[in-house]
Amino acid sequence: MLDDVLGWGGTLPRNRVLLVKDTVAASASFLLLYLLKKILATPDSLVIFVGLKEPFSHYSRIARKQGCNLAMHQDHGSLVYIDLLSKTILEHSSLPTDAAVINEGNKLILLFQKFIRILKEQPGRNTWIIIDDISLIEVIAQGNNAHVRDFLHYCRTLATDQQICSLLLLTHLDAYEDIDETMMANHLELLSDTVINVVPLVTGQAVDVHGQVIVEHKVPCNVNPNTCMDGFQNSRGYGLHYKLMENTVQFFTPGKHV
Amino acid sequence: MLSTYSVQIVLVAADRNPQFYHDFKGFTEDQLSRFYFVDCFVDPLGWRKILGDHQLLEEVTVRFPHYKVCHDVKDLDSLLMVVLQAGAEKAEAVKFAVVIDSISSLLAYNSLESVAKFINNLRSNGIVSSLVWMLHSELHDAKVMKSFEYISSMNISIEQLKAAVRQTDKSLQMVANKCFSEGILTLRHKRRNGRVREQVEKFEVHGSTMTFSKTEGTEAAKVIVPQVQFRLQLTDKERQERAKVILPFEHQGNGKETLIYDGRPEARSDISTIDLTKKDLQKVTIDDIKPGQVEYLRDSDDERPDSDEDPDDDLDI
Repeated sequence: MLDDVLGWGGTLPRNRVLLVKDTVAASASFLLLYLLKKILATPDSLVIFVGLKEPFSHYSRIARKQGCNLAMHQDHGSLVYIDLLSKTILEHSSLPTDAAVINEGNKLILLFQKFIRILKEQPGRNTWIIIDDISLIEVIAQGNNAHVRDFLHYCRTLATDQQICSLLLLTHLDAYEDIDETMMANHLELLSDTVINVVPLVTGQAVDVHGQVIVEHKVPCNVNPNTCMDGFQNSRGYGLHYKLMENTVQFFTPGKHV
Repeated sequence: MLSTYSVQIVLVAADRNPQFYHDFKGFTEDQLSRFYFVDCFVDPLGWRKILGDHQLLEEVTVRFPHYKVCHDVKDLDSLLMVVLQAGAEKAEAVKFAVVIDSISSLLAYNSLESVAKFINNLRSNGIVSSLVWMLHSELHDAKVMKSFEYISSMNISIEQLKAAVRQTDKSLQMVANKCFSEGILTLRHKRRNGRVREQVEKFEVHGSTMTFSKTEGTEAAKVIVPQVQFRLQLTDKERQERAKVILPFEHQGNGKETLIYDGRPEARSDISTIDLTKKDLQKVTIDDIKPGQVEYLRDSDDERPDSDEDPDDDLDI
């Protein structure tokens, strides 16, 4: 059901920027793995996963429960995992530590350079860059939001370039409640084509419903929604409730839990 | 601008890839041929140039006949020269228009003063016939917005229909429909004599076309009911019947003796035709009640006046 709402019922969309926002009360880690599994199941796809929050073993263990073997995909080359939890960004870069580059202060150019190198090594594939999560990218940038914006802008150029590349970014809805940070949250929304909000129920916690997923599409006006989004007739937002099971997640329309 | 005037346009693309405009189905081939694209999107800070110097990235290829890449948007003086040269090359000594998408991207790398100076230099240049720029209001504070509003002679603001059913309670959001294909367009035009004229219209986007319609005063405030499986609104008949219902304990206030309605249907008809006993109806006339005075009416005749009996004595506590 979420696939229909996202427009992923037929084929995976291309050159899209997806922003997933979650809260403390409703984490979107399940959604990240759900989408990752969906992408890896598509033939000729390539995932560049930037892990800042958890080690690879964590994602691998949870994905295996859901029937997806991340280690196998990594061995086959359809998953490239960039570990920024235990390694620094400099260790991933093949760019010489040129003083002119580093002196600009934005070390994230090294991560962008890593993306470019991977895309160059595997051209023509439907590539998805997944970043978990943006707030930890800010840590690498030492709190400099301008550097993060610059980095995301360049990532977005990859999504709109001639090569087939999409972005899936995870951030936290309640991390930007401070008035100075709302500009960053607005900026993230502005550069996204689709925004997915994972929020708890307004009425509180429940046994059968663990939260709600609200999907908002911002479709460019020269794209026909009927062709790229199965089941959509108009560019509007849709909400679904979800329940987390042991090995899977169920999505259903509000009030129609099976 | 494209359909009305045969003017050449220099498009400074900072928010979107110029390919987006080139692929836009709303433009004809003839209209597209009048564009000169200045690409500030693909490499605004020169990262691709740096990576290209290390043989890690190919140079950005020329995509359109009239196309130039700006590798440093922090240098607005150079960008100004690029725009003016592009216009001169395209228009060949005839005036041309400049469209900037968007100023917000330029403000991300430059100060308000330098961007305002850049705009003013374009405005004041005799060869630029018109200048159109876009600004995302959510990314800037009021000072930035007002600064650019004062510079411009016409402001167009686009916002969602105010009836969009979406309530935000800190980190919580209700499941709702948010319509992105329609909204309200407010046009503020400053005339040369100083008069400011404002116009509000509703617009709808259908694919690559937009339609405009007049909006009434209440249109923008009209509530859109969420799409649920049960009916939330009242029909006319239901509305009329609701208006007829007399609420209990409501004073009729029709000039006659004020009666407190006790909720029974018999009391709703003409009071004079009903034989009411003292127990059925408590009559309180307006003249009897003095301001600040409390009138106590005994529930029954059995109760002795001035009784000091505590009504809570029967409680076993």
